[in-house]
Amino acid sequence: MLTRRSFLKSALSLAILPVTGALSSTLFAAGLKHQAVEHIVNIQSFAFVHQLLVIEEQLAVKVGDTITWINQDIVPHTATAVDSSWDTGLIEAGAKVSLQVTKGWGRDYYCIYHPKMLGELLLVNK
Amino acid sequence: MKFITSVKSLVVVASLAIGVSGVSQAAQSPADLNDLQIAHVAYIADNIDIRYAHLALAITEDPKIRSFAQTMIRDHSAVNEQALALLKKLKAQPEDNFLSKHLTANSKILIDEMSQLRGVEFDKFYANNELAYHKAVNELVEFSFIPNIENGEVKALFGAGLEIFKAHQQHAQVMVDKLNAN
Repeated sequence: MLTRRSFLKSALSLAILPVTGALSSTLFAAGLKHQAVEHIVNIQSFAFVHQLLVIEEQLAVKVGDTITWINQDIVPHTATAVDSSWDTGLIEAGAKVSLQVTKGWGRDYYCIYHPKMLGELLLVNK
Repeated sequence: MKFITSVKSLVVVASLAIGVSGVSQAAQSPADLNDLQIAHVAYIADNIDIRYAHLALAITEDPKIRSFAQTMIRDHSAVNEQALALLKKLKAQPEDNFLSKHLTANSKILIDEMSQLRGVEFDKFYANNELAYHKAVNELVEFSFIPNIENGEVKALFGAGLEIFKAHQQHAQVMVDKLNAN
């Protein structure tokens, strides 16, 4: 179940910034030190594009991290755990939604509107 | 099967070259349409699929088909909003044409047919029609429209639309496969 307090939903107009290699390296290092970090997932062309700390196509996250999905498509999407343990709800075109990772999160996720869109998390120290 | 005849009559839009009077540009092939006529076809095609979806929501009780229909309404409405915003920005009006008329006429026949169906019979018809419709329109967009669109912004919007409609086609294929397996 998605807990309300972990649900940091924001639906804001975006000025989408590319994640630079330097920032990526910084956050990679931060992740290794187990400091909470924000992971960015761009939703582009009907795919979840993980930007940071990707291990074998999985987005590596740990409890306390925040994941922000940025919808760059022109239609709404969701990021929804296959086991229903977490859900961003609707992410409007051009908007973003952030969730804080909590214990018990399911690994596999998809867009509930477009079931061919699949994503995968690697939950570190789950 | 009854629906196959109907679907075929729609699918031929991708390659048809029929003569319909009353169009100022007298275009007779999809490749002859100008940007404003192509925009009109796309708007009509979006609205047709939205109408199919509303019909599905009125008839089907299958949750997966209901979910698909809701996605069609959500996505095609979003694309049309983008298209209208772009046309407004370009200070342009879409132009009616033979292909828009052909699509509209076919959709009325299909809606009449589908309206008579219930249960699994409706679900299979709707799912197969969605697959055939998206396949036909995607071929039209990819091979006849996008190569001929002159305006860069319109071309980009059609490129984005094609990605969406290909995802719909894949989704429809899954829906059809599941219905056929039952």
